[in-house]
Amino acid sequence: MIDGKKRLLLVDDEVEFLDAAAKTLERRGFFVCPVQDGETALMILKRQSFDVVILDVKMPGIDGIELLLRIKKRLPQLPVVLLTGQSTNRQASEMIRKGAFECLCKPCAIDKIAEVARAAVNRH
Amino acid sequence: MAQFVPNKTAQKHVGGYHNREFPIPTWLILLILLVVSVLPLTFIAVGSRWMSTRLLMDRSLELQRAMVEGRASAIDFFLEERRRALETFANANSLQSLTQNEALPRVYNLLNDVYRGAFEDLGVIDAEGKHLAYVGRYNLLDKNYRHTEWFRVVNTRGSYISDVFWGYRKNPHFVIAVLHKTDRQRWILRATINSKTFDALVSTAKIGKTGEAFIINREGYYQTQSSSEKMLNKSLLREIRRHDDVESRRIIEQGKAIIQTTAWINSGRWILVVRQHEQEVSAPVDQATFWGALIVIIALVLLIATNVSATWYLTRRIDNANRQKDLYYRDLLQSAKTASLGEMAAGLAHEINKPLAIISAEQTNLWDQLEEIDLDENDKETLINSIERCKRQVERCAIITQKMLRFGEQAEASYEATDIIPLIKETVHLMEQQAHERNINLRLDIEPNVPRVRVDATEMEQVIAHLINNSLMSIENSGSIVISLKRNEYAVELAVRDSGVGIPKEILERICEPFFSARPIGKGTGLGLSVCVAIVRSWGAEIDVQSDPGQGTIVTIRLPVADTSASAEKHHETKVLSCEFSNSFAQRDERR
Repeated sequence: MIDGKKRLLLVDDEVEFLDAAAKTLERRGFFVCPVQDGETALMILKRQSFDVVILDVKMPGIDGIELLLRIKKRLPQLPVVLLTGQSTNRQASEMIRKGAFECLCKPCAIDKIAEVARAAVNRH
Repeated sequence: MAQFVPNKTAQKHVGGYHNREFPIPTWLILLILLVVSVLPLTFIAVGSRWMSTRLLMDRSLELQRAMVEGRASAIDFFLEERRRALETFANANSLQSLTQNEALPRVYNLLNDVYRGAFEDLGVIDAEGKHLAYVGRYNLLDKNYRHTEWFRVVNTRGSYISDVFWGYRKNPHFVIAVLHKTDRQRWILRATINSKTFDALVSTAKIGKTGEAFIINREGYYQTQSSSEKMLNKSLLREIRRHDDVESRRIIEQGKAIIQTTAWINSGRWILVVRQHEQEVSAPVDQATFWGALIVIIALVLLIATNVSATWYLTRRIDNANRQKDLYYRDLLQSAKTASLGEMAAGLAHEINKPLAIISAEQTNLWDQLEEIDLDENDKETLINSIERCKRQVERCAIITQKMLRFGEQAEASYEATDIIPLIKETVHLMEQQAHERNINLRLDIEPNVPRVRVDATEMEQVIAHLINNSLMSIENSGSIVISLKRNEYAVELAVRDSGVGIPKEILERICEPFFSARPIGKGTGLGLSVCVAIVRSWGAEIDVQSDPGQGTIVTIRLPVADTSASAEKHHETKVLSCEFSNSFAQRDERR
């Protein structure tokens, strides 16, 4: 936590989304660390601690599911919220079984993301 | 009515498929079968008729020949017996004794006693041809036979049986004469044969009603009375060749076929002719043929009836098999089409969702910044309105892409025996508020003790929700929607009936196609009902839509009963299309 702000790692390969979402989430009281790919995210997670991670499922390289599994292996307490542009009820349930706190479907309001992220931080 | 029941839908398609896959028309099959079965039967019938006719005719002719042979022997015996009798008397008596007053009449009476009146008269003739004594009804005592044919022959041969001739009495008759010859004397004992007795003997050879029997000599003159000719008339019979034993031949006389059997008698001087109309000879054959033909006709009728019914039955079976095949083919095509469409839809939705997410994020960003910027109230409100409109449109796009995604996604459904009454009640309860606001009466009509059905609960809820939603959309002001559930013999029937505007006939057939929507553009994606149909069919259930424009619509789903569904197991492995309307999966899961 930095200055009372929750530390949020946002991973998405879309730069525009990353930029816009990061700005908004900053305003919603998060310290956002925007990252474009899974490898960088894992590297940053080794060095810094975060209160919540938000991942895009479909990414080049290490995808969101793989990243979720690796994070959960190393940091089982760290809540992870998944963002996906293509999923179904069952796939979402599957992701939650694999350790995701929640699975949100794109496009969803940033406020919704902020709300879920806050709930994740509070629960852990 | 738009039918999605396999048999019904297959009907139209089958005609073309049938012609394509099974090009032999029914009439040709029938013709081939008839030819194959009728032809051998006809050959057998004709062959049997030919054989039996031949055998029966041969048998008839054989009998006729045997009879004629017997008669010929009898006639020969008759003549020979009388000749021998005369010979015996000639040898036993002297000329002197026979020419005495009462001797010849005594012999005459004796002969007629023994031979039953066979002799008409009896005379003794000397070597000069002069009548020495005579017994008979003609006055012939003064007659001299020296120059007659018979007198000449009997002197040469010793005995003679003449042909029929007129003689002195001017009446046809024939004689038997024997020569008695000693060293001192030559005389002849001559008898005339009673023609009635002889005719009666010959006529015993007559056969049947059309038969006749007569004797002709070598020159063709009648020696006995025939039914058509008088004695001594010239016979019109063609010259009969010399032959041994008995001979039969078929001749045509005045257009009529006649079987003529002949035997040479009287040492080859006479011919016994026995004739009978062929029609009478072949009467037993004709009768046999009649019964045979009757049996063949009955067999043919049965054969044709069997062929027609077998062809009808088989072609119907083939048609049904083709329909079934066609249905599978159609389903396969539909599945492939839907799968391709789904794949495309899912990819497209994903690609659209990415920029939508950015627009959504930027729009929140704009909103945040607007709060911080000091602007004129009017300008601020205008900007807020613009941002709100953008937000609504993004949400609208999101709903569409979600539906596309659900259409395109394949998921494993969990098919279990499910009590669907709570599912219906829950879904109806969720939609009650919406119905109430629009002044629509939403009610349930559920029979008690409806058995469980093998479906996926989530999919069931989805289908019910969609159908109710469709009904809500179709009611313009106020109306009613009834959700009924009842059991019939084989299935559980779920029906959603509304009093909405109904569906015009021309679009009823298309409402289940993906992306087809009867609603104005922007009001419907055209995916809802196609997803419902895909889901329902994946359960092995049937769905049909009946609609009367202005009266309303009834959608009926017939669900297989869980306990009796033989296909239940396979459903566990079935991949189906599902559709989801909610944005948050987690919320939905919690509700489940």
